Amino acid sequence: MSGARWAVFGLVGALAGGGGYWLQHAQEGAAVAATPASVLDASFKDLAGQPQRLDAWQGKLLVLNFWATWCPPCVKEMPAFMRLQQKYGTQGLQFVGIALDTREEVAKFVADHRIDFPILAGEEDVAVYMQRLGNGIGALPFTVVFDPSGAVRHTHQGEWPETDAEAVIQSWLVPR
Amino acid sequence: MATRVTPLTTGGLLLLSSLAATAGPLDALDGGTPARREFLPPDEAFVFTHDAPGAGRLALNWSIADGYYLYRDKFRVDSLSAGVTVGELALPPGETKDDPEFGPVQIYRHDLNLSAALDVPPGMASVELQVSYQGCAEDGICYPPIKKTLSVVPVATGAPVAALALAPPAAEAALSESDAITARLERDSLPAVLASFLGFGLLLALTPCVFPMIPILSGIIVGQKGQVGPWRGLVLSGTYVLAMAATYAIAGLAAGLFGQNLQAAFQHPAVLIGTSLLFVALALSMFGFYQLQLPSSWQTRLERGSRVGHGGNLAGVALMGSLSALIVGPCVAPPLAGALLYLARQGDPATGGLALFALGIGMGLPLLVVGASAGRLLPRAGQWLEQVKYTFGVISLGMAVWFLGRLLPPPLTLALWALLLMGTAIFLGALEPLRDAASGWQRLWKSLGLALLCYGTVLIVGAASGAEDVFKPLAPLTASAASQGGGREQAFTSVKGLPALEQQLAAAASAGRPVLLDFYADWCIECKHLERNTFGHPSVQAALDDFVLLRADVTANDAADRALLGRFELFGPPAVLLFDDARAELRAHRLVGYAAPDDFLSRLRAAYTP
Repeated sequence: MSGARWAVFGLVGALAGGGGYWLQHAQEGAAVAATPASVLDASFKDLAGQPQRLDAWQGKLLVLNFWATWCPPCVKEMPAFMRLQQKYGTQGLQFVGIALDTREEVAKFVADHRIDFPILAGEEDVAVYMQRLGNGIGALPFTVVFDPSGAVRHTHQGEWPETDAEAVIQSWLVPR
Repeated sequence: MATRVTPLTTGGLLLLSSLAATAGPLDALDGGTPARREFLPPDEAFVFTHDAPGAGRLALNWSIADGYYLYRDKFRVDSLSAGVTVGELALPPGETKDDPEFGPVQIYRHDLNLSAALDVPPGMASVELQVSYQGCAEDGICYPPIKKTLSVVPVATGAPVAALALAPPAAEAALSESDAITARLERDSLPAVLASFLGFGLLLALTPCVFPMIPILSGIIVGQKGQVGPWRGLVLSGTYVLAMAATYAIAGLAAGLFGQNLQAAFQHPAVLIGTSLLFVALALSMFGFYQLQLPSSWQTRLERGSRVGHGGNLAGVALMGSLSALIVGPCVAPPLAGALLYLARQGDPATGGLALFALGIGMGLPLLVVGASAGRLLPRAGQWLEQVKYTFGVISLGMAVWFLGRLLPPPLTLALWALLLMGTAIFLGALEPLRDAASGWQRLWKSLGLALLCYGTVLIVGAASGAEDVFKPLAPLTASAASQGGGREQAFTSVKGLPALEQQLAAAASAGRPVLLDFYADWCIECKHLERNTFGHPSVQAALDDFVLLRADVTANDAADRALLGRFELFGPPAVLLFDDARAELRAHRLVGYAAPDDFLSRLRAAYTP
């Protein structure tokens, strides 16, 4: 390798290193200065395969329900969530289901059970996102309530009894 | 039975379980709701283990926590290696659970053992399998499908045991021998195991491991008072071999059960010095300075007790057999390591002990032949017998030097060899003038003596110039040219303990370089051979050019050393482990024991040829 090429490599390397260093420090600074960014910065594909950003629902009382068609407790609680959506939808409640499953299975299930709130699906990305929301063991169902600002207000692992869910939703719909 | 699974990669969805340690940072926000139940991480709810595959079957085990279950119809085993087929999983009938959503489903609770046929083309070193399963907790959660990637070492299925046992070890070199042997122990019936180990013993008898025992035994027989007939020779050698085999079994049991490195203990300086003194004593008796036997009071007591003539001698012979097993024999050969690994894994002392005993008997069979024939081959009495005795005396002194060589600085050992050779030369009459009427024999002895004298002189020169190898005494004087030419120093980085190794492996992985890890100890003769002959060989050095070379010196045999050996299920040096550039050990290609440069190179090529 000629001296000139070494010099180019060296220059690129130095720029990359310096840039990385600057970026890391800039980010640290930002993290300290600004409020924590909303965890709603993720996006998952809808049943048509189009990516949907979660922060599109920011401003509503958003309930993310992580589920799968192969998961009996998930399937069991789904009708309750539909009822709650019917009841409180006009007051700003929005259920969104995120399935840890294949899109075909989910589409079939949604059609069969006439699920009327938005359903997204994914696989490993969903698992990683659940981890971010505090679901360490990755088990389903897992439900997270976000206030209109996008902050997490409640999480529930396992089947969520309808009365409990309704109480939490009511407490956050009423401005305090 | 089960060995804890170490998944190479935790597939797909299970990614998150490895991160499970991070507690939900949002728990604190859980205000005003019913207390959340704690659920187990998937690997604790469903503890998965697998056994080494045996007899062409793969055995998978689950231990399912109370209140958790696995679905019967969600089990899958797939081969990730081309040409390998996995048969249907044998699924026992499960418990029927009436699920309100899905209707009746079959589930398993508590302990579950499944097996599947595993068809592996011959010569395949390791097989990658993916096992997936899925389950839920009674209290309303379900786990995503769990995928585990396993790397298993297959065992040849079709070949009859006898053929395998008698095939040269090279035929099995494709899999790590000791692993294959462990697998065989786990699979075969007891008679088959014993036959195999007898065969392995016979093979070992043809290696330098056992050679030193031949002069010892011959020496014992020749040193007997009076004549030794074939029958007496057989009894003596039988006693020796039985004692040797029993010692192998007992020492192996102790090592396997307690995980201690007895070999290291028997390489203690006190033991080595004691043994070499024993050999000097044996030599002196050969030279006729005295008759080697137990004190007469002991002898009479033993004879009275056993009512067998020469009972005292038999006890002495047995003692020599035990000592030989412990000190002469422990080249950590694959069969020995395999049997020890089996012992440590299974904790089945009976099978392991019997296998080691069979190994010892196999090693001793040629010695029995030597013993039985000694009476016939060796002269009856007179001048001849004296000469044979002297010969064995010299050999015994050589053994003493060989033992001390593990202890002394190499040049000093060289000087001792020189003394031995020159002394022998003098006794052969190297410096005495031949008379005109001298017989052909006398002339022959004198020439032999002169040759020994010359070589002894060369050894003295070598020792004085710091040479280390008896067969290359002038290396320091001739090396200057060579080392300026192509000779490179192998740069082994020493590692101590697991954390240091992990660090080195990580560094090598990020540099994308393969790693060779050499387990070494000062007391390990085979390690020194490996270092000098194999790692010192120019073509091996060239082949290892790109490698990160690590050396774990386990001379101290302390806790860190034992932890490191234990991590790789090794019982002692020498062992050479190879890692790919992603930190994974190529276990099928590990080398236990010594390998000559050519053998080593072909192993290296096999390990890194995709």
